[in-house]
Amino acid sequence: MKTWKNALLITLICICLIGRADNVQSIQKPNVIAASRWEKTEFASAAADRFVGAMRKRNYSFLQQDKLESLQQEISNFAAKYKPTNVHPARQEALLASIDVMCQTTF
Amino acid sequence: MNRPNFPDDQEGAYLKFRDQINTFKWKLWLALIRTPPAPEQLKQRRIQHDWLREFIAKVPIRPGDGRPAGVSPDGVRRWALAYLEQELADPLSLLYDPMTNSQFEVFKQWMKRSAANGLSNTVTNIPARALGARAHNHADVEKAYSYPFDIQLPFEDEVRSIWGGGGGAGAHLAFASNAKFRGRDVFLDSHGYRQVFDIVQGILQVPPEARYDATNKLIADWSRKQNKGDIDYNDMTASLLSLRGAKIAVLKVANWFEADRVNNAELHKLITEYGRTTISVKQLPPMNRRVGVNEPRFFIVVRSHEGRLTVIDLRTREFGQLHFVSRLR
Repeated sequence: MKTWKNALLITLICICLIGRADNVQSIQKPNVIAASRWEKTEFASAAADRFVGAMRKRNYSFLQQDKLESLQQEISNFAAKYKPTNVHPARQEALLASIDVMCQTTF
Repeated sequence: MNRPNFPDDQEGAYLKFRDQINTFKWKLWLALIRTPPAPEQLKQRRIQHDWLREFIAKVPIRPGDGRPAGVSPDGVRRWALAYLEQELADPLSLLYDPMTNSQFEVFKQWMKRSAANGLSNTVTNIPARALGARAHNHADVEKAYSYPFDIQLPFEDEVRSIWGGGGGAGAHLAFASNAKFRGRDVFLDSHGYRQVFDIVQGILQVPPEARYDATNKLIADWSRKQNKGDIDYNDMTASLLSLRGAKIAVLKVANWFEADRVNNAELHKLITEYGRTTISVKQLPPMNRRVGVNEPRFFIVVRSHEGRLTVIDLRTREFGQLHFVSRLR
């Protein structure tokens, strides 16, 4: 009787642990997707493109093509240092959209 | 979404561009290192956002309040609330993450002060108010915009000042690395708190006995003894006077782009040929008039007793003050 109870207890603990592991995995899933998406879409480069695109629209006479290219490289290198593996893809898109707005309105 | 545009000021953007780039990198960095908020942070953010929503909903629209282009007088309230919601949801906004309690108290006090300027200005002031509140770890409302700042940066530099405000000017940091190129924005007072300008050290206060010196002799003597100070403004005669043997010459350029194309050798030559000790500024417009390309602003070059050069963009004069931008060579 006692052995049967112990077996049931162990089974229950195992089920709980597996369930917990599943939960952990489900929590981590968006991070994994975000990280792979990050590599795939090259967020840093996309952010730099948005920045330079906005600067072109501002049409500043002091920003020549070579200066724009150097700025694009600077922003891309800077953003690439901080790969946000915990940022969900939707938030990456929101961040890119925000870069558009900010660069077009406050620069 | 209708957000007001920063005035199309090519020269302003030229001088402050490096500050803008670094401010952008700082905000981008804050967004990139952000971790998912803990439940307590979410709660704190919700409380702060709700306070701001309720506050903005109660700011009165006064006759004569400004409003963005394309927004009708009836649509200002709706526009303001939409602007606020965009600020709250924007991942680059300084309202996206909750402030500390002491920072939020500072923010609330400054928002209440902004409310006296009408709804449109109050709403567009939010980014600058949030930046001021976040700039320090203390809760001293009066020192929100004062140097030094408690701002952590992801690159080697130092924040020297904060600028921005309503009407779409945004919120920006001014960095030590751009201080020389940006130049000094100077309001030189000629009345009760009379000052002199030193092209390297900036504004200097003169001693009380020299403040009402109509002849300028006391100020000239003080400057010589202190071995500092290069120019002084006399509002009674609407003239700029040199100190310690400095020389002033008019530089015939229309803007900073043209001024920066004149090299130091040419500036020295100009001073040698046309340098003098006084120059009239009568033609300058009052401060509350918009300065544009057709306004009678003009440029001068000053060479100090020590041989240093600065180019000065004389902008306006009013209330006994002379406003100019000085950029050291």
